[in-house]
Amino acid sequence: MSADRPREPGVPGPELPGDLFDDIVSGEPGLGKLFGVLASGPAPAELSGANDALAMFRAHAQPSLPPTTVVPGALAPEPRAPGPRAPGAHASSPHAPGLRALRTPRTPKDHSIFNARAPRRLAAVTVSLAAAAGLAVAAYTSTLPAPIQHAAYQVLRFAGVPDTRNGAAGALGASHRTGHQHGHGAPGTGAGSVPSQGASGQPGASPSASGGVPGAGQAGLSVAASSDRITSGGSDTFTGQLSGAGQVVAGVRLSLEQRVAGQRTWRVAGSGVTGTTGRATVTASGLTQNAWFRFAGQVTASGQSGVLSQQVAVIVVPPLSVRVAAGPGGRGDVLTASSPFASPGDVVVLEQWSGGRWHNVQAHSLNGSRQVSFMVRAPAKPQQYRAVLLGTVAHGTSVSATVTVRAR
Amino acid sequence: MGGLLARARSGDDAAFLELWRGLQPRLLRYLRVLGCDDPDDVASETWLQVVRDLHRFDGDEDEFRRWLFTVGRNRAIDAARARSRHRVSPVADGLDGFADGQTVEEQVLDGMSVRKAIALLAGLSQDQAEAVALRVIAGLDTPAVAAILGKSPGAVRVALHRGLRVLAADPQVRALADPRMLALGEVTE
Repeated sequence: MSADRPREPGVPGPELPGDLFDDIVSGEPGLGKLFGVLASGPAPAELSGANDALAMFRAHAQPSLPPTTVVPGALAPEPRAPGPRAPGAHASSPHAPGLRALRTPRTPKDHSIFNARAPRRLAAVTVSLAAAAGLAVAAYTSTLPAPIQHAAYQVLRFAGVPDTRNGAAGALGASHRTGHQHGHGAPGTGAGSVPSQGASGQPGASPSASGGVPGAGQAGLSVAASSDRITSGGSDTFTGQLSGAGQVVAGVRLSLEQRVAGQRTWRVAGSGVTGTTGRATVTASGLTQNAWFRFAGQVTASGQSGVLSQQVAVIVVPPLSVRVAAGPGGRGDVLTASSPFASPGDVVVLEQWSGGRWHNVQAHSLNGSRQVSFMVRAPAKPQQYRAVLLGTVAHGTSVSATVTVRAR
Repeated sequence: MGGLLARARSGDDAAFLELWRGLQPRLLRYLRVLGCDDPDDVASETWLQVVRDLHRFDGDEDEFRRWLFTVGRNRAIDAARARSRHRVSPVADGLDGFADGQTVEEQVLDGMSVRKAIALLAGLSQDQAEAVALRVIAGLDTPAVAAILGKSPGAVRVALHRGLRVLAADPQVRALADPRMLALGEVTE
């Protein structure tokens, strides 16, 4: 379970302070697992806003600078707002803990600059600040020579000055560049190097980084699935497009690789040759489990360099049927759910329509025949039910058609 | 996290990013339990407020977490007021919300399971759901939860107790105790 994962930096663990809460949770294994899930590590989608958060931090953070630090005028932090405004604004004030009283200390430098006895020094400093401002603006727009730009980055990176030497590198670690993102940092993030989502919306943290193409600039290889959700046993069509140096590349064989969810190995599911549009289309058939897909290609004449696309996920949804039969003795009905492509042990929840919404009524696991039966009382008026096969690593969630139990 | 906090306060963007990555998922989950229409937007507003005032924050790790979730809750309330809507929990209505409304990445990875768990919490009454979410997702103790909700610790304990009992009786939660169960929380790799 994810509850067993090591704690991440800055993340509170799932520990619960000892009181009645602990006693209840320890007596209910299901609750412990549920809370383990709620406190589990992040899903990729939950971290997709990292670039924006970092840009926001750079734009608004007001670092506590030592008194003697001189900040170039054009990029200096804005003056602190007057008056102690509690974090969380108006609504947060009553409960905001740990707030310090607002302080606006004047540094020794401040006094020396704004000293009426030194007008010549003031003029000199003004000229220096103006020059620094111009330099900073130039650095911010990356118009300086590379060595100077790099030096400016070293000093002013907190303000978002980009670095031409390292591209997207910075203190945060390297990111993977994939597909069409070659040669371009994430928009609006300056020197940020946070894994980003690709143009097709796939997780950018995938290990697929496009390889370089000697003599042809960097290559881009994209992948798209005709459907991201298919019925068990069905097929899906994938289109890969190869480009290099801004142009599509024809006549290259692309291999469609498949990795079943939960496994680590990739296998070739098919291949195709790019046409004049740079596209190759491959169909994968008989899909019965969730899987990742990507394209791979050898794109040089010498075959020395390869390129990988990002990955796309395809969810396989097993069909789920429900039938109603009279129960023993005629006192109730038996609803039997069946899902031939699911696995024994998969959980099926019976839901009842009431009050304008579906309510969970019972939950059982599929038996060896991939069936499960629910006994329901004979209702006073017709009652609608449906079954839901919960998603697993192997397949997605499946919902049956609605069935009606007649009144007796 | 104390070191991270200090570095973030001094303008270290790497430290801030690590802080953000550690707490953002939990903030999003909490906002979803509250029934936010756009939890990403509210979370962004929350972090904006935090970033603006971070230089004035002078607490430890627990206090920072409490502050973050306090701001998040208030931003969620502001957002709800702005839309002039009552609390809605789309994921709490049966299983439709996560049967069809999630990304494939979430389905393949464990985000699918988190969404189900959030739906279960969101099905509680509002005070129970908030108390359990702040306790479990935010990792706050009862006095901190009480302070955020503006209730007495005793009232929070009652809400927690009732909420846990309701959850424990849910068929899906009971099914989790089944060792064959894979649907919630299993990590694929």
